[in-house]
Amino acid sequence: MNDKKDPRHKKNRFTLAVLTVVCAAMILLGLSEAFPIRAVRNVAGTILSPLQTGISRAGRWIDSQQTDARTAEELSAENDALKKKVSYLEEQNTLLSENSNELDQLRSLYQLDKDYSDYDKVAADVISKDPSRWYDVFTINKGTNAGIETGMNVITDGGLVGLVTETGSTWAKVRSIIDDESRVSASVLDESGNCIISGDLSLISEGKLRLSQLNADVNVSAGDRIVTSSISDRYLPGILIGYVDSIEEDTNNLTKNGYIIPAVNFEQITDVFVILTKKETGDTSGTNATPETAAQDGETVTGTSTGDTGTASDTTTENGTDNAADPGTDNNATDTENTGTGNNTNAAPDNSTGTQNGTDTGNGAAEG
Amino acid sequence: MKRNIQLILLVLITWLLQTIFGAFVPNSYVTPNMLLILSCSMGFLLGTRTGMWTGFLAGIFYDLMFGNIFGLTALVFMYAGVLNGKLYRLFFEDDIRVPVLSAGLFDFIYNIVLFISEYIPDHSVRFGQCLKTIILPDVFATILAAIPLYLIYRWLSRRMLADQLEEEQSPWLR
Repeated sequence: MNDKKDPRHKKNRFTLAVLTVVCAAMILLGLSEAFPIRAVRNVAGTILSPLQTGISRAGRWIDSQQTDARTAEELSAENDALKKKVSYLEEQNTLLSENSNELDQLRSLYQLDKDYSDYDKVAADVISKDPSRWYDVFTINKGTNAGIETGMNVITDGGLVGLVTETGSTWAKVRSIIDDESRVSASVLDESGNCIISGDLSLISEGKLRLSQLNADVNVSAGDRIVTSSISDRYLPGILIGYVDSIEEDTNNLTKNGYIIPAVNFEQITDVFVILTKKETGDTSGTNATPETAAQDGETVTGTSTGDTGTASDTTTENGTDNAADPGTDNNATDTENTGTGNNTNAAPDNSTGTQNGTDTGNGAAEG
Repeated sequence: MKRNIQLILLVLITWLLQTIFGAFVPNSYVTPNMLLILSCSMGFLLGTRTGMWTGFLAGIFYDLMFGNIFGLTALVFMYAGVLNGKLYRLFFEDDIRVPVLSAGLFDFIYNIVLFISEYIPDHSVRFGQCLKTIILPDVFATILAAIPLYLIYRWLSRRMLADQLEEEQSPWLR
């Protein structure tokens, strides 16, 4: 038996060694981005995403069957209640449209940008989620065919969900903000404090986010709303991220940190919207997927340019120009950039290095 | 070659199972690592060479669909398959404890590898917290899921072997 064993033994040992080298090569090439792994993943994902979509639809259909099994009585009672609610809401709607007209007028007066609800959006379903808990990345069923590119913001009705990191023709991967690698430049609503909201591995299971680099002078308490800052170079301004859970001062007494409860329930995301407008920075590159995600390192300290650090060139442009004031492409003329962007975030005068001096007049008064 | 095609089919079926599981189970529950269970089971049932190829194919597939570092999962799963293949000679395939526990062990090792890959770029990641919230639930779920899955794979492997020779020659089998 031994002589029969030896040649096969050797052959299989050899195969194992070859495959090990292949794997190691793939790891190294993948890390150095010399190999177009994205292309391969695109093909695989495009072939298999219809299956995933079908399965997730089946799951949801079964869910809906269960919830629809109610009696005619219950449905009729619900119908009446809903009718009353509709008429109440119609009343409210009229009142609010009047307010909204006034708001539009005021906005144009201060030359502020549009609310993010006016941006073009495309709806998508979540079709699969990364099974391991190390990452919070999920796949949606729309891709480049629907106009989605990497770097686009993803939201739901509640608030910010994440960023598109990879796209295929019929699918896209979204990294949610509670993933460990996520960093969002944010502001406290109604206050002039910029901070960083980041995901953390140890907090993923609790569904919380970490807040850091908040100037110690800023008055913040539990329950305050946190929105994306206008100086972020990745996220459109004014999107709700969450609410402050707890705050404490750092040991250096210069900054504060704390925890945020996100506005979105990440455990039950089924439908999202992808905003088709991207936050334009100095160097627009729609396909820098991996460099962007790989370089999502920590932010620089307050006082200089804060905001998500994309590539190195991104940070330098933020220092030098009004980079934060670059809105999406379908926004107004460039004049508005200098007088402030973001509707409800103050582009933190205490936080900038003076490059955003043009914003003071516009924003100071507009801040509600 | 025919064996490799069968393995690819197995990987696809397992992946389908994983997706179905993910779609029907609420997000807060942890999902077991079914492709790893597949690699370990195939190694245990059919020998080192099958385990090696199953691990490699399953790992590549996993890296294509999910995951961060391309090729890392393939490496880990492949060696899981090989090492389980070494167990092939030592235990009866009816002994369900061995593949189930070894699936749990290799899932633990895989998670440690992932932790290291997360720790190297960012040293603030705390091991104790990750252990409690990520690693241990994952291992536990994998062990639980390995029981029914192993039985399925055992049945499938018997059908795969039905047209092969009966005498076993070496742990490196077919």
